[in-house]
Amino acid sequence: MEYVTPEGLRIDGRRPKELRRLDCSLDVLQSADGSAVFQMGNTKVLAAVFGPHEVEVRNQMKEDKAIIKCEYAMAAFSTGERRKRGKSDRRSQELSLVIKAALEQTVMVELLPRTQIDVYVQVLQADGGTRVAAINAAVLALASAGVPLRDLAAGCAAGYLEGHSLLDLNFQEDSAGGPDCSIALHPNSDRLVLLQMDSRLPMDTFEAVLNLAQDGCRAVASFMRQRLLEHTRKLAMARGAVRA
Amino acid sequence: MANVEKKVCLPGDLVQKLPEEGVLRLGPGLETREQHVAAVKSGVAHQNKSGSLLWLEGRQKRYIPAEGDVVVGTIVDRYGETFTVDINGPLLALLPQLAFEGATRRNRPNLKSGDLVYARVAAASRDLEPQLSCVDNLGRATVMGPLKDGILVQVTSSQARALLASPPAPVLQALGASLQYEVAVGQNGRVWVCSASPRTTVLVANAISASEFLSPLQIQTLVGRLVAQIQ
Amino acid sequence: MHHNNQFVKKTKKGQIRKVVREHYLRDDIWSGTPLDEECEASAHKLSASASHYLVIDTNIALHQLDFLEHPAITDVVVCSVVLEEVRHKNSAAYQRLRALCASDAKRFYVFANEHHRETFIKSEAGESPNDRNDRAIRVATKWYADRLAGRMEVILLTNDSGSRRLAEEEGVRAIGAASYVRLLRPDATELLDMVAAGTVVEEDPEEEDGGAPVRSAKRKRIYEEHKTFSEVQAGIREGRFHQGALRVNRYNPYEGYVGSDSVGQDILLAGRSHMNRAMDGDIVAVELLPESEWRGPSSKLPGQGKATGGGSDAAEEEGNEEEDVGAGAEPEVFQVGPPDDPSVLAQRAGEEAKQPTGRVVGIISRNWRSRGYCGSLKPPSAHARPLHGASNVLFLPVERRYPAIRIQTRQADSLMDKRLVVAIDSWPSDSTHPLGHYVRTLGTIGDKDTETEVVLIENDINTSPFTPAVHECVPTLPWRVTEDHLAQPGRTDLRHLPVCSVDPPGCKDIDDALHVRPLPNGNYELGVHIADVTNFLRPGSAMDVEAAARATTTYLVQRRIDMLPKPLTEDICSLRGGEERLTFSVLWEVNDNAEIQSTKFTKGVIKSRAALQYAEAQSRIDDPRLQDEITLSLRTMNKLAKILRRRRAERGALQLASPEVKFTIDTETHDPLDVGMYQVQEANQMVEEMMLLANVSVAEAIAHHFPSCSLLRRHPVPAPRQFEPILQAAAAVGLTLDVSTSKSLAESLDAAVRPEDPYFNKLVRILSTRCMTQALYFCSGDHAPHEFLHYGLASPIYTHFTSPIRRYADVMVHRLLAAVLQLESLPETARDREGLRAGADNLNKRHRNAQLAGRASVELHTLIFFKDRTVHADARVTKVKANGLIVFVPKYGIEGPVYLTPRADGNSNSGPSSSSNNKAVAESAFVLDEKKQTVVSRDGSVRYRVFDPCAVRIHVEEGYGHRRQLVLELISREQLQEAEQMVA
Repeated sequence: MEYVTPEGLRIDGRRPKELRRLDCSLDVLQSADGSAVFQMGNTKVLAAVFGPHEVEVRNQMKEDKAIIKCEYAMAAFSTGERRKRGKSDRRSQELSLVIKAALEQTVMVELLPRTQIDVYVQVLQADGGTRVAAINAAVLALASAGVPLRDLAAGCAAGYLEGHSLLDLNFQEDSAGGPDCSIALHPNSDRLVLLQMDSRLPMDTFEAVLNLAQDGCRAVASFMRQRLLEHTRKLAMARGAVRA
Repeated sequence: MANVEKKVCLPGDLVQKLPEEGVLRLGPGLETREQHVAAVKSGVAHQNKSGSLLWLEGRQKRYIPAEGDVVVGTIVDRYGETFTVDINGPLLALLPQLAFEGATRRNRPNLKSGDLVYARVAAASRDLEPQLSCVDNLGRATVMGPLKDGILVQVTSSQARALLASPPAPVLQALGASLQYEVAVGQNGRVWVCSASPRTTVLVANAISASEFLSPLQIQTLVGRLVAQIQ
Repeated sequence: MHHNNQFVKKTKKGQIRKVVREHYLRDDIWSGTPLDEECEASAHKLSASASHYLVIDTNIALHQLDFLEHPAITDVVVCSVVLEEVRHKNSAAYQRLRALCASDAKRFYVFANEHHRETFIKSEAGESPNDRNDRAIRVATKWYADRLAGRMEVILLTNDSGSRRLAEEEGVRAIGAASYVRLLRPDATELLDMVAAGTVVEEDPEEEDGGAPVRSAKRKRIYEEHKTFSEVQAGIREGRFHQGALRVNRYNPYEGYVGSDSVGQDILLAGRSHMNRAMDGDIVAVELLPESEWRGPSSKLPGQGKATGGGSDAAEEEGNEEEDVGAGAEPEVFQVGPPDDPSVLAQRAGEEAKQPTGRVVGIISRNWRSRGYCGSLKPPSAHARPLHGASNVLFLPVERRYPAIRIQTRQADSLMDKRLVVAIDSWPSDSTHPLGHYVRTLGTIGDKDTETEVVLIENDINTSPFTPAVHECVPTLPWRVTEDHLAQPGRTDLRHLPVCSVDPPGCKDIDDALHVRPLPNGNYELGVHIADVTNFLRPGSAMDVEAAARATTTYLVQRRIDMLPKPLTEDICSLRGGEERLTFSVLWEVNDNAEIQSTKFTKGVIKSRAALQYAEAQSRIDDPRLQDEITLSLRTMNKLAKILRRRRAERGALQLASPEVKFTIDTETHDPLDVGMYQVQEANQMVEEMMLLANVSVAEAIAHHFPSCSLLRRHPVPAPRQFEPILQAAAAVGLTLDVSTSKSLAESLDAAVRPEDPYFNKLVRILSTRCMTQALYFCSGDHAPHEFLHYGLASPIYTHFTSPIRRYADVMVHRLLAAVLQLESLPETARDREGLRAGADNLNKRHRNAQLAGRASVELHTLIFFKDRTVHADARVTKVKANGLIVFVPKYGIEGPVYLTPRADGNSNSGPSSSSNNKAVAESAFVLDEKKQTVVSRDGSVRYRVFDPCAVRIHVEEGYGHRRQLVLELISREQLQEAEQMVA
C-alpha cells in the first residue's frame, strides 16, 4: 500500500502538509446553551454545552472552580459498519477524559466556582482524527455558550508514514500502523493543551511531526476564529449592535 | 487612550492596551492579561465616551449574575427563612423571605415551588450564591414581587437587554399597539408575559421569541399577521 | 475541490459494506512539459524537442516493459490511473515502471490525472471499472492534445482496438505498439523485436506480422487447454489433482518431477504433451495417469545430433518433433561438483522402475523470470531459406531445463553468433514453443566476458557496483586499531599471542587466524581468531542491507564478486600479517589429547605474525631445522588437528572427495594456462579441523542461549533410496557399502580399494558425494534438536562462524554470539522467526546460486582451455547406457557422454587410432545389463563396466556461429602416455 506517491500525493490527493476540508456550524441546537458541528474532511462531530449550572453530584463540587463533565460518544452509524457502542466502552471513556483535560485548561474555571459545565460530544461520521475534531467542536460550542475561555483551543493530528510527515490523517492512513500524534494548542500563546501519540518515533522525527501538527493547529485555529467571528458579527448585526 | 470602536471580539482576543495611568473599569467578559485587556467571550466590545468603561456585549443563553440586575426567577424551594430561586445562572439564588414589601415575621409571602418572582440582584459574587431582593434599599417594591399567572419565555441575554431598552423595543411597541398585555423582562433571559386571555398571552410570547433577529419592519409584519389571526 | 468516492465492498466475512473515501481534485498538477507556459519549471520533465509525446495505457505498461525500457522510447506520459492498476496487478512490473519514471534519460512523466480537476471523470452508470479507466486515459490524452495543440503531437499508445476506435471518435490520435514502431520509428530497428508477442485477442486482426503471430484458423491445438483456477482448486480439494513444484530434468528437458505430499512420492512427467507447457519452477496441478501407463525415466542418452542441432525444419515449424528430443537437447559435458538436486538422483535410482506418472492439467503459479533468459538463436539448418526481414526464430536458453522460445526479430542474421537475453510473454496452447521477445544482446558467443555475464545473469548474481550509501559505511583508509577499540567492553588485548594465518595462494581476504601455545599445567591454549566484521557492519545500514541481499561472495575463475566493499574485505577486516586487527576469537584450553577443557569467547585485537600459504605452512612443519615459535605452534596445531580428525572419523564423519580442479590463469589475457586437480595437503586439513571446532563451539553457545532464533547449519540424513545409484554401481563390481549410518558408510568407503587401480577409492567417494543431500542453513526454532545433525561432519550441531567476510550467515552468527556475551543487543530483525526463516532461505538460495555460478565459470574456462587443444586423458566409466557411457575425467574434473554407436551423420574424426574399436562398434549394437552395469557388444569383443578405466580424447567442436561444445571420444588405453595414467 503506497501512502505517498513519489509525486507527493496521498491516497486522497492531498499533499503531505495539507489539511482536509474544514467546515463548521454554530448554534445548531435550540435546547443546548451552546452547540457546534465541526467537520474535518469526512469526520463530523457535534458538541453541545450545558451550563454553567449547579453541580449535580454534591461531593464532586469544587469550591474554587467549575467542574467540567465531558461525555464522548460515537454514533452507531458513524463508521462503515453499524456498531452500537455504549458510552462506557474503553475508548470513549479515554477520549472523554482526554477532551475534559484539554477543556479544563481552556475554560476559565476559576471564574465559576462551585458550578458544573456539561459538554457532550457525539461523533456523527468518523474518518480519522475524531478526538481533535471533538475538541474543536467543543471549544466552538463553549464559545457560543458564552463560557469564558482563555483562548480558542484548536486541535490537529499528524503522523509519519513511509518517511513522510503527514498532516491530518484520514482513517486509511491512521490504520496503516504508523505513529499518530494528536495535539491541541492555544494559538495566541502557543501553549499545548493536549499531546498524545501512539506507536514510537525517533526523537528528531517526532519533533518534525510535532511542528507539523502545530502548524496544522494554527491553520485550524484561524479557520475557527474566522467562522466564529462571522457568526458573532452576524448575530450582532442582526440585533443592531454593530453596523455592517 | 484609543477609542475602541464597536469591535467584534473572540475569546482570547486582546482588545486594547492597558492605559498607563488612570482608572479603567471593565465589565463582564473582559479581563486583564499581561498589559492588555483581553476578551474571554465572543461579543462586541463597547466603550463609553470618556473611555473609562469597557464592556463586552455578548449573546448567551445562560445568565451570569451581576449586582443591580433585575431578574425573573422561579422559586425552587424554601430553606428556613430563605427561598432558593432559579435564575438561569450557574448557581441557585437566595431570596430572603423578608425581602418583600411589607413582609414581617408573621406576614411572610406565601410562595410555593414553581412560582415566579421579579427581583433584583442585591449581591452577586463569584464565590457565593447570588442574593436577591424584591425591595429596593428603601424598602419599596416598585415593580418587584411575585408574578401571578402568565407564562415564562426564554430569551437570550442580548435580547433581554434589547427588550429593556428605551425607547421600547419594536416588538413590544408593535404588540402594544393592538393588544393589552403585561410583561416583565429579566436580564437573566427570562420574560414573564401575562394578559387577559391565554390566546393573547401565547401570541405575545411567540412574538417575543421569534423577534430576536428581525428588523423593525419585519417585526411589524410578524405582529400584524399574528394579531390578524386572533381577530 | 472535493469529491467523495463511494463504492460498495464485500468483506471477507461476506458482509456488504459501503466505503466512502475523500477524493480531492487539485489545481497544481502540471503537464510536465516546457511547452506549456502554465507548467511550473520544477515539473519540467518532458522534452520540448521530442517529435511526439506518447501516452500509454495499462496493458502496454504491463506487458510491453522491455519495449518501453528500450533507449529509443522517451517522452512518455504515464497517468496515475495506469500506475495504480499496474501496482495492483503485478508488483515486479510496477517496480520496473517506477524505475523508468525515475530515470532522467527516459523522461517518463507521471501525470496525476485522477486528482487533476480537469481530467478527473466519474464513472458512468453501467460502465465497468476497466472501461472507466480507459476513458480516463483518453480524457487525459485529449487534455494534453488540447493544451499543446499545434506545438506537439500527443499520441495514445494502446493495443486495444476498441479503445483506439473510441479515441479516434473523440479526436485523439491512437495507435498500437507494433504499428507505432513501424510507422513512426523507422530509426530503431531492433525496437520492433522488443514489442512483446501479446495475446492475439488484443491485437487488431489487420495488424499482421508486426505484433503477434497470425492466428490462422488452421492452427490446431497442440496442448491440452489448462483447466480454470476454480476447477483446479476443486480438483485438489477432492484429491483428483495434486499440487507441487515442477523440477525439470537437466539432461532431458521434456522430463520432470513434481514433488507431491499428497502422493508421497515424486510424480514423473514424461514427454512434452504431459508437461503441457509447464516450465521448471512453476507450481502445477497434476492428474495421475492410470497405473498401466506409469513408466520410469528414460534410459537412453537423449539426442545424437551435432552441436548445430538436428531435426528438420518442417518438423520445427509445425511442432511435430520427436518426443524426447528437442532441438539441441544434447546433454552437454558438464563439471562435476557438489550434489545435484534430488530429481536427478531419483532419475538415476531404479532405471526402468515404474513411478507414479501424470500430466499437467493446470498451472497454479508461473515462475517466468522477469529478468529474462540468456541463450542464443538456433542456427538455421543447412537448407533453410536465408533470413531477412522479420522472422520467427527459435531461441535456445543456455539452461537446459527451459524449452526453446519463439521470438520475432529483424536482426536474426546479425544475432546468430550472439548471446541474447529473451523474456517469455505467453505460451498459447496452439504453439509448440513459448512466445517471447528479444530484450538485449550481451555479446559474441564464446567471448569470455559475455559468457561470464551469462553465468551471472542466469544465477541472479548482482554485480552492480556498491552505491555511495554503502561506501559511506566503510571507514576511510588508512585505518588502524586505536585506543578506543582496545577500550571497548568485551575486547581483550591478544596482541601478544603467536597468531598466524594459513590460506590459499593469492588470498587477500584473510578472515581467520590461529594460534596455540603450551600452558603451565601441561595443557594447551588453542585459539581461532575470526575477523570482526560486525564491528563495521552495523545492522540496518546500507552496507548491511546490500550484504544480506548478496548473502555470499561469488568466486568465478577469473573474478570475484564481493559481498562487502574491497577496503573492508582486503584491508580493514583482513587479518594481514604484521598488522593489528580486530577479531572475534574463540579460545580453548585443550589437553594433550585434544579434549576441550574449557571454551571462552571474546572480542580481541591480534597482531598476526605471518600470513602463510598452505604450501609454506606445510614445508615449515616438515622442515625439522625450523624451531621458531610459529613453526612449533604449527606443528602442535597439526598434531592436535590430527587427533581431532581421527576422533571425528570414529564418530562417523565422512571423508568425501571433491573433484574440483584449479586453473592457472595467464595474468595478461586472463585465459587459462593449465588446469589441474586441487591438491589437498595436511595443512589444509589442519586449518579445516580448527574451523570445524570453532563452528561447533559457537553453534553450541548460540543455540543454548537462543534456542528459537539461532542460525545453524544442518546436513539432513540422506534417505536410503538416495544411495541407490552408488549402491547399484558398487554391487555391479562386487562391492558392498553399508549406508545404515555415516560411520558404517565411512568404514565401507575406507574399505573400497582396488589394488590395481589406485584411483578407484577416490572415484567411489566422488560418486558417494553425489548421493548426499545439500547442507542448509536454518532457523533453530524450525526444527527439533535432533534434526540439527550435520550428517557429513557427524556433529549434532553446526553453524558457520569462520568466514564473515564472504558469507552473510557468519555475520548473523557473529551478532548472535555478541548478544550471548551481552556485548551488543540483538537487533529486532534477528529475533523475528518469520524473517529468519526467509533469511535462511535466501542464504541457501544465494549460496547455491554462487556455487552454480562458480561451476559454470569453471566449465566456461574449461571450454576456453580446450579451444585450441586436443588432449588425451585417463578416464573412468561412471554410468552405462544402451548407446553409450558416461565417463569422468579426473584430471580435468569433467564428466560427459561418449557414444558407442556411431553418430547420425557419421563420425569423421575416427582416424586410425580407434580403428579396431570402431570397427566393432560399427558392426554391432550393444547390449545393456543394468544390474551388472555393463554394456557388451553383441559379439562380445568390447565390454565396458562401471568403474572401468578407459581413455578419451577431448577436444572442442566448433559449430555454427561460435557455438562450441566439448566432445569426448573413446580411445584405447594404450594410447595414453605413462604420465597421464591416473594415480590416486
